[in-house]
Amino acid sequence: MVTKNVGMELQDIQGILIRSHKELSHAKYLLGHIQKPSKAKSWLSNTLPKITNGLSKPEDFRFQIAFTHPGIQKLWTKGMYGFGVEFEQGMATDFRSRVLGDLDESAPKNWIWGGPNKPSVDLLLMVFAINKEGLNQKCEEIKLNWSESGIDHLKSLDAPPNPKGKEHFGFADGISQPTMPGLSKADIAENTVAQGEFILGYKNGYDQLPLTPLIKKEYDPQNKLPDAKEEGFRDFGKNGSYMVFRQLEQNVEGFWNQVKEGTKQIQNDKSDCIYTASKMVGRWPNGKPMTQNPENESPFNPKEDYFLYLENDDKSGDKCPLGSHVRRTNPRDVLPDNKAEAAIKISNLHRILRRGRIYGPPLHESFEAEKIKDTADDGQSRGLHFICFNSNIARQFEFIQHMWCNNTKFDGLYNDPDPVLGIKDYRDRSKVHDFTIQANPVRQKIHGLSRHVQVKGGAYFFMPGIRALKFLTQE
Amino acid sequence: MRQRGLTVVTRILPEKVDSLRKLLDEIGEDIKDNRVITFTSFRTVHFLRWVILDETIVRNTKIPAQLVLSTNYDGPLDPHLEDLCGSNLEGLFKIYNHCEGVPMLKDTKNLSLYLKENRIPIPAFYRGTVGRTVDQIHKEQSLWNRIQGILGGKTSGEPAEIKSKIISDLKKEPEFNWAFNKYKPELVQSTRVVFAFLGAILTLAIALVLLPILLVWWILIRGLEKRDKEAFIASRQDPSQIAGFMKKEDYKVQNQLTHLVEIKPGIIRLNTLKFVLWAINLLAKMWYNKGNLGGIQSIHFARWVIIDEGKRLLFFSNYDGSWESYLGEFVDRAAVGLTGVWSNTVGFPPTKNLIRQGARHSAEFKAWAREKQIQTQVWYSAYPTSSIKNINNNTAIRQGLIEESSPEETREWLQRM
Repeated sequence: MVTKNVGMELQDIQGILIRSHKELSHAKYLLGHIQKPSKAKSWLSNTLPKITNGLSKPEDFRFQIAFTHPGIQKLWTKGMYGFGVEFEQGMATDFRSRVLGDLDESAPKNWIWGGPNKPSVDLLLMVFAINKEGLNQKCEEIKLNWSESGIDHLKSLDAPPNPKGKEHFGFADGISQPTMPGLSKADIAENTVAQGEFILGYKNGYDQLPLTPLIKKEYDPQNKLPDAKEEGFRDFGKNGSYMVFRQLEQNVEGFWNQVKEGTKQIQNDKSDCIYTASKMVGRWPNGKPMTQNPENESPFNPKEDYFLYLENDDKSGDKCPLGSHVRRTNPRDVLPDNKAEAAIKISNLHRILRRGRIYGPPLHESFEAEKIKDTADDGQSRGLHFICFNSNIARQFEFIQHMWCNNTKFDGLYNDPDPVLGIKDYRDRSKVHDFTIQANPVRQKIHGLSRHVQVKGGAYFFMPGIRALKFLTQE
Repeated sequence: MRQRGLTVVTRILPEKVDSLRKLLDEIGEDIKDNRVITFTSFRTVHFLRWVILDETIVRNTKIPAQLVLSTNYDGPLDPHLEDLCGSNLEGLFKIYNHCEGVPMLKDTKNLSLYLKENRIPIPAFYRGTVGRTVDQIHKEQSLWNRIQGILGGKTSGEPAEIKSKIISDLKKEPEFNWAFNKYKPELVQSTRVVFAFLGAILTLAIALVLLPILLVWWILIRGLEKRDKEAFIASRQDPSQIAGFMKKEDYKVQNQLTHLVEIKPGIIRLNTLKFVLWAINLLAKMWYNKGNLGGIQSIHFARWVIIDEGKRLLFFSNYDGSWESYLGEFVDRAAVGLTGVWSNTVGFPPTKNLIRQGARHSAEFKAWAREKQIQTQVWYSAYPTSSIKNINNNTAIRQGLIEESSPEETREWLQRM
């Protein structure tokens, strides 16, 4: 895809959109409920200088802030037009529960945070630090400030260091991110995705400016916000982004039991459980794509990750199954006509910037799938704080989750949801689902998938640019 | 057998609009077990919907409330009408008693005639599962299910062995006898060659003879587009309106869309629209007849009809997947065709040369599409768990079952499992 290289206003973009703050390996996410908007505004005003932008890289602490729709409404009461419908309605609606698969145990009514009948989550403060003590101390200070500023502290979510870069089932995670043009790191064209797919105010994959929240000009007499392209309005959204946050709890033992059961069903000679699970994921535990090496886990360098399915002669899915997790979440060149160029272009209209971190201790300290798979559950909760950024939640995050992960008809399949997420098809609740492993001479099939990733909380946030934050602080 | 579309438009008695809406909502909310229409009695119906078009004023003319019935059926028409009215005579009368001119005598023949008299032409009609009857779609799905059972978790052996095992197992079961009967699909592929040839001749003719007319038309359209562009106000999605649609969406593998929009005034716009619809219909028949509309493989049936003496354009679609994915496919793959049609209607994003831009304004187009979407009171699908790809794959499996095949073909056939 050809994307114009437009310089971004890095000083106005919150830093986490540009980098993941990996070197600050300790993090906490603080959820707040605004009781007294005017006091909250002065807290925000004082905090503003500490919010990390896209240029600065403080070495001790970094802070990012985002708001839900109720939160923004509390801080700005004079009307804002043109937020995405998904953001305004929020994550916990009946419709979204269906399409995202937040049903049964994962239903919003069971969530620890973000669900109905609880005080609304209004704001999220992300704190990153180099060590645990510093982080805890900083967060205590913030909580104290909040209580003096009319902000109720609802919850703090911990994200401990993850030096191996694994998720709890034992697989490498966070590989294969899209690259925006104009940043210091260059990437191949197929993986370079327009800035406006992730940050408002820049051209998106359609070579157009994404829809952006607007404020009537008369409410901004001091020109704090940039002009919008719409006559008479200012652009509140410029340099902001929509942030999806979901707390996904993983039942590690349950997942591996299912893998063991599935391995029995397909009675594969070479197959051990690692092989079956890797087929489900689409990568080996170390991250090596199945499509590049379907036989065994060979060395893998995540920096050289970009691959295509057709160039590996894997149209049929004999190497990396059509329904595997990674092939669904980014089908690259194989959708839907198997014409590579067109398919990549369309896949790239459904990309997200992932900034999630794991929570809870690993089930086995080694973080090796080989060891984890035979370790009994220890009763501790663990999972992923799934966090991603996009400029259009419906076209990007929700589309991936709904039409690619949860859709049992994905790529011509019949009855197969994402085997790692294992979310039951809401369209036919009585169905027992399959995982089909395309093979020569004929497919193998694991029957009876179950769910081992449950949603414990979630919300849609908007992460404003620095100018827009400043605008919110005024009386 | 040829699948066709039926569209029936009847006027609703003004005092009965509310009670009709109540009745239809009652049916629509419980397609399976409502007490008015037993949908499973229909033998010829793929998809069916009833939609109320509310009373409105278009360009100073009052248009009364109307009821639209739309079906996709296995032809011909008369047996279909008999199927509709015969299997649910009471229910249909209950509905049509709310409309003008319904026959006094409650019998199948009279009601069929009434529907027949009130049907309107479909200028553009698309089918994704060309030539398959409802019965066939069901049977071929059960065949797939059975073969999955035969194969189990893992089957080893040579491709040819596996295939003959499937065949011999199926032959033991009388209920799959039909699968070994000769099957002749509706002729589709070869039309492409003829079409390309005719297309070339036609293009030549247009170039020579119609060029001056085309030029005049082009100047006129560009003028209109300029004016429209200046007057354009982008639609913004209205969360509360959209919430109403979302409530009913995503319960089946398929979803439906009913979309109603005013056609821009003047004969140039109306005739341009008619021409574009004609061209799309031709393409759908001759070229896009394999379940793939220029890369969109998710539409079971779709149609455009012009109503109210050329004042409004109705669009009905039955598609796989979500609204967001469907509209996305429109933008990504079919923007030219859609812009060609909808650029002649009110509020559509600015266009250039009739078919350029327009729907490529992705966000504005989606907002517009939602703005003009209307509620469908009743919607029925005969196979709510089958995608187009499933249906087409099942037919290919059935065909392969009785065909002699080379080792390579056998391997490809097995890949379809």
